[in-house]
Amino acid sequence: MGEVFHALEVMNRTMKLGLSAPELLRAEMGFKSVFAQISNPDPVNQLPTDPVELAEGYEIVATLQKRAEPLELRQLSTFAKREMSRPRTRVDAKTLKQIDKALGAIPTKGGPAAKKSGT
Amino acid sequence: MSVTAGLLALEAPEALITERLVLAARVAEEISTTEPVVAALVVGSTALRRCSPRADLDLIVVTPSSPPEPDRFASRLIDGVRVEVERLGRREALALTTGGGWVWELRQAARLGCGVPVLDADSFARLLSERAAAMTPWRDRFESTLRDVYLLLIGLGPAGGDPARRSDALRGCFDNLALLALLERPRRYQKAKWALADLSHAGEDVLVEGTLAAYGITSDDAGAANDATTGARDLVERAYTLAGVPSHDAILAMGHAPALAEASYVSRCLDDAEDLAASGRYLEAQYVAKFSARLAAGMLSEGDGEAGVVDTLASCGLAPRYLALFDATPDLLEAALRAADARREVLDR
Repeated sequence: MGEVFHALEVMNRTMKLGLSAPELLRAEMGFKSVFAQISNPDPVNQLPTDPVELAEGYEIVATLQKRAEPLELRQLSTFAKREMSRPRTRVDAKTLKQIDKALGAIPTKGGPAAKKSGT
Repeated sequence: MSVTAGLLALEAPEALITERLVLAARVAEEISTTEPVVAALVVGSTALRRCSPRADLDLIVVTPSSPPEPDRFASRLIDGVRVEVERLGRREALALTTGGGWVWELRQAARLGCGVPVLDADSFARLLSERAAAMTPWRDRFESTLRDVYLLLIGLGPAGGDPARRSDALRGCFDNLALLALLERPRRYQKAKWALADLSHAGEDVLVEGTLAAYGITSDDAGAANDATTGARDLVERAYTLAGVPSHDAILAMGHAPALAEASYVSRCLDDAEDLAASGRYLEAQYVAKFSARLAAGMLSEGDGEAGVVDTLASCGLAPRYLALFDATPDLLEAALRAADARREVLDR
């Protein structure tokens, strides 16, 4: 755990997004649970339903680098068409609720301070 | 009648055009009796068949050698028509119609290329027309502009976001696509005043309809034109005050004002919009008025980095006035993408 958190934390600071620590953790766990569900379609080994547990087993290691060649106009057109028709991947409400429960970050008056868990 | 048919129907009456061409031929004939003339051609609004009875009649006289600077321009009032004569050396005329270019170069060439010859014994005017038509927009710049449009459309792809900012970004896409479409055509991009008519003349009905929709122009009547010009003038004046430049009327009174080039362009646009409204060209009047408001808003947002025009206007309290000019506009993402693809296909040929 922690890669997405770190990336978001840097963006949060440099772009002044104003996200709270619970929001960052929530994003990390939500992202990983969706990612795990998409990329683990093994019917034999059923995925756990608890997103926190599910996300524990995965981490993303990636680097962003500039393309050697920019996309051609034809590719940009295809990209634009896809962006128009592809529905956004979203974390469903039930999963988010589980995440919030695990984080103890369901909005309450003067809600609990979240701590970053795991590494 | 469709909107685009309405634009074409606004061409000047045939009798008026013929009358002016006869007058131009008479002036050219007179000049040729006192000095050597290679060709004489009518340019400007008469050549493009959209002159009003009060419009100047522009005549270019091509001479064998470059005329001395003091003799280059002459202006005469004949039969109540202001005739503006410009002398141009043969060599300069050929130099203006060669290679490629961008807005300025292509516009200069198109002025000659779309001219109507009234004296052309050696077919020199026809040669200029062929040369001007063979010119192409700079490929790198064309591709770069189209790339920016695609990137913007990709960013707008996922639905959602603030509708006002989204609509404004789409207006920018259509403006750029209209520019590219016109640069491909013999008339090229002259100015905002003629953009819709020239797009329509080029058969770019999809772009015309898309641009009108993006600008929230839905009715062709005097009331809508008056609302647009009044609203645009109000916004332009407020933007000038914030930018610390003189008023719209003061800028117009200055004439050529290179020190205030940007504001001068905005004011001439707004003035064109009011002129179009007075001539009964209500659709174009609305478009040009709103275009001038966009230019004025752009003046304020310069130096604001990545912040959009709407954000800049919001920070100085002008966003509601600006957005009220455009009403609710439909989501035109797919139409913009189709128009971008049409430009790309031209580039691929």
